[in-house]
Amino acid sequence: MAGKIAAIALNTFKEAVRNRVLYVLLFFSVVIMLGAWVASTLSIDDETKIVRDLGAGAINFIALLIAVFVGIGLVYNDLDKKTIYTIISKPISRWHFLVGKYLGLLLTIAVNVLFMTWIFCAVLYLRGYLAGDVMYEALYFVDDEGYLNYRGVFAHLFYLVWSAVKALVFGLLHVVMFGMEGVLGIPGAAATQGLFMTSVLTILEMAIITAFAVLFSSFSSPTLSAFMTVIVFIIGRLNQELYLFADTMVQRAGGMEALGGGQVVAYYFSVVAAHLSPNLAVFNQRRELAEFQDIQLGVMDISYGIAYTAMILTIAAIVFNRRNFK
Amino acid sequence: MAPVIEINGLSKVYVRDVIGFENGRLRVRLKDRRTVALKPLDLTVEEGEIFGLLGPNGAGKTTAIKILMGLHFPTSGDARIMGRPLEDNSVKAKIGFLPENPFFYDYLKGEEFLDYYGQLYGMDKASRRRRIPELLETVGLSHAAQLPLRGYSKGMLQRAGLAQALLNDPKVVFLDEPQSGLDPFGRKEVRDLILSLREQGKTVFFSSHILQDAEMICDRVAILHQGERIAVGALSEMLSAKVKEYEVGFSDVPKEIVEKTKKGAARFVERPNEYLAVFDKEDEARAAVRAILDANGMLESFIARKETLEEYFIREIEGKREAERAALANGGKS
Repeated sequence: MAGKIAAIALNTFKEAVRNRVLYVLLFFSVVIMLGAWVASTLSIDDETKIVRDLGAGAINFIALLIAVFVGIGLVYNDLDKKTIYTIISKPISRWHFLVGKYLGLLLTIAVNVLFMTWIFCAVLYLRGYLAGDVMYEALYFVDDEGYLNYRGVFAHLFYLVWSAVKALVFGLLHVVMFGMEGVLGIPGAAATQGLFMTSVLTILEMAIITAFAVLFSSFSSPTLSAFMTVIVFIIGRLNQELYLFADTMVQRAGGMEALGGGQVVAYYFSVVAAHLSPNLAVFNQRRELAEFQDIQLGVMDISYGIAYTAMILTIAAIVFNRRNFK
Repeated sequence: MAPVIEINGLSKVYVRDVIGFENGRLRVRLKDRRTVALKPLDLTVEEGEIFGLLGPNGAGKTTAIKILMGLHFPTSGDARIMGRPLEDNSVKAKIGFLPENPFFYDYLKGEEFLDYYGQLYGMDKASRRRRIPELLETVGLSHAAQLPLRGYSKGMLQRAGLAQALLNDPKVVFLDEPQSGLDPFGRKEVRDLILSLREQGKTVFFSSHILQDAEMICDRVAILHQGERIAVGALSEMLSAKVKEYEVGFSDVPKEIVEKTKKGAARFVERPNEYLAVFDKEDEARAAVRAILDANGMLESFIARKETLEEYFIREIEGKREAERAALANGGKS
């Protein structure tokens, strides 16, 4: 059983990796990260704070787009193009297929988030090297007499390439050492503090969102599935605010009895939506990241993510088990 | 011996959603939501048979196969394959299935595709390595093993589909319209492959609307029309008793014999010194043959033309339609 689920998961990963949309999204993420660098130079606030905030935001956003656009297509295409006929007729259960697809998708997202984290760490290292090093400032393209200083240009280019290589290597160290590369005494490592943990939180958040994407795409069209998945993401992010909204409304009115007709509807809508939706606020610690505070990831948060995912996948499996494939 | 496939009263009624998209438009449908795709169907298929499920488009053939493959759930009735219910995964390990116009992951290379499906069958690496090149050879795709399926022609995809259906060396093979979209050569290859499967002792259950092909290879057939089984049996039983007409071809006879034969025949075709007479009755034909031989004429051919499956098929379905029209007319009067 596990072998068959793994086969489906790996094939799903292969499918996603051979999908051009993925590369467009990754390219887009690199553009945002470099854009963040440029934007930070225009800011009067702490530059590093802005780069870190924007970069982590880009990783989170692109991960969401992968979950929604690549993820939904993966299940829907199998149904639409009837590939599923030859898969379900093999000695596997329908839920094996669904869980395999889910795990393949999650693997895709995890690999891509870690890839983006690597690139982003490299950007941060490079930014540090180019901004702070005296060598860089001292190199001039033209000499005192106004002639182009070729030696200067080559030295400049060499320094740039060398810095980029160093940045890429140290960025990779950040990912493979689970964000602990600072212990090696690498210069500039402080800038990447907490990024790995933030990315792990993003992967956990996407584990829940992907489960919803699989659930929706197991019974509805891709457009509707994408729409509903994004709605779940938004409500999930606003989860705590919905409780707050409901409480504030009651307090202002002076008790439940004092609420008007429309307010009662709004109250129950918020409370029910907050209860049903996943609490994604737990996984969003970008403010802490920007402020260089510790990123918290408790056992309870991980358990919550796993339990919620299992619940959504179970519902998806029940829906999927009962349907006729057209 | 127990039959390999037993189908007992299997039926399927599709019920459309009240609110749904039809032709890209949102539509609320309160009436006519039910479509009967398959009326209660009973069939048994014995081991080692080539069984054809025949019928025009929309007859319910694919629905029946989809239910057998666990892709659709029956509205009523049940079926067993090799004595086990359809939900049993151990049954799926012993069957192969090729759907109509199959589509596979087109980003996979031929070999990768079969390797993936082999894993779904639970085959270990060593047996996959041994079986895949063997199968590619059987279906004539060895040269395309390293090409992505995206570059395959329709005929090649069909062959890749056959290969995946045979990966596990199945006991029963289900083929849904295996010849659709193939050219005459492709059709012949599929026919030969089905015959070779029978030689290996496998049972083949296939659906088709190409009757000539079915006639050439099937041991038994069932004919479906509008979801209903209208005939089932061995082809020899269905068609043998029905000699349709007798053809007598002859030449080199005196004119009066030609005239006499022409008078008695239902149809007569005349070419310079070559004649073809068609008789409805056997004794008339025999008498004509005797007359030709007595006159020292040359008897070129004497054929009892049996009904083809196609003619049988059209007659049965026409009869059915006639009966429906009559019932409708009677209903209208009362």
